[in-house]
Amino acid sequence: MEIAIWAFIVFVLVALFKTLKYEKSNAIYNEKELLKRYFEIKTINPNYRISYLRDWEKHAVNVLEEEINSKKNRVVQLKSIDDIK
Amino acid sequence: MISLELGYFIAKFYLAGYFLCFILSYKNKNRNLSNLIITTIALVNCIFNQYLKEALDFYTFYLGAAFQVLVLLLISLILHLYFRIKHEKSTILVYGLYILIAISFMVIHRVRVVVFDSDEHILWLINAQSAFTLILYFLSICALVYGSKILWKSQFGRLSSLF
Repeated sequence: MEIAIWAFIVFVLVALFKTLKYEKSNAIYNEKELLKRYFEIKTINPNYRISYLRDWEKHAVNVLEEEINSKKNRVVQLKSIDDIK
Repeated sequence: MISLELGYFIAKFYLAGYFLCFILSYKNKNRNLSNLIITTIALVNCIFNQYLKEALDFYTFYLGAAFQVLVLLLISLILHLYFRIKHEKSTILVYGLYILIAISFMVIHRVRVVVFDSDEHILWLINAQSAFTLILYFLSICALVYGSKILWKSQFGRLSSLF
């Protein structure tokens, strides 16, 4: 019984440190700071969000094309069937 | 030496203090939710404590007390994670004080039950420990008042018009 509660103390301490670390690393808890930072950047460069989106779009297109290419490469191409078509 | 009546009187005073902290942190406009959670659980714990005290016997009294404090911490941790509320510094300070209280309960259980098996020889130690825990509880109340982020001028500024 006594050992169980000592173990429980250690468990609670570990859980406390884990949650504190999680809060530090997770962005959900820093929303206000992130929003402030976003508005700061926006005052410097008003097109920041749009340019970021364009970059993201280009990146997405590239990724999709690469995926399609890689899929094509994997398929065993039977030339005889292509000829029939 | 602390007499039992004085101890209970101080405990009642602390219960009122916790209730005051609850009201302060609930009514405050820019309220600190982390503080509100820990105060509410501590208040519920204070009331539930009176029923649990009668259920425990000589061998489980201090174990039960330590277990209660730890469960308090665990519930508040779970609530913080569930509602996605960030821990404040004052709340972490209160956690530290409560863990110290739990460890002191465990030490007193060890000395009382395993080493001596009676209260008579170590009354001074039990009294010292109760004084220690009462001081820590008082410090935790101070931390909770600090954590309620109360602005004394805006809250009690109207009192100055009375004088």
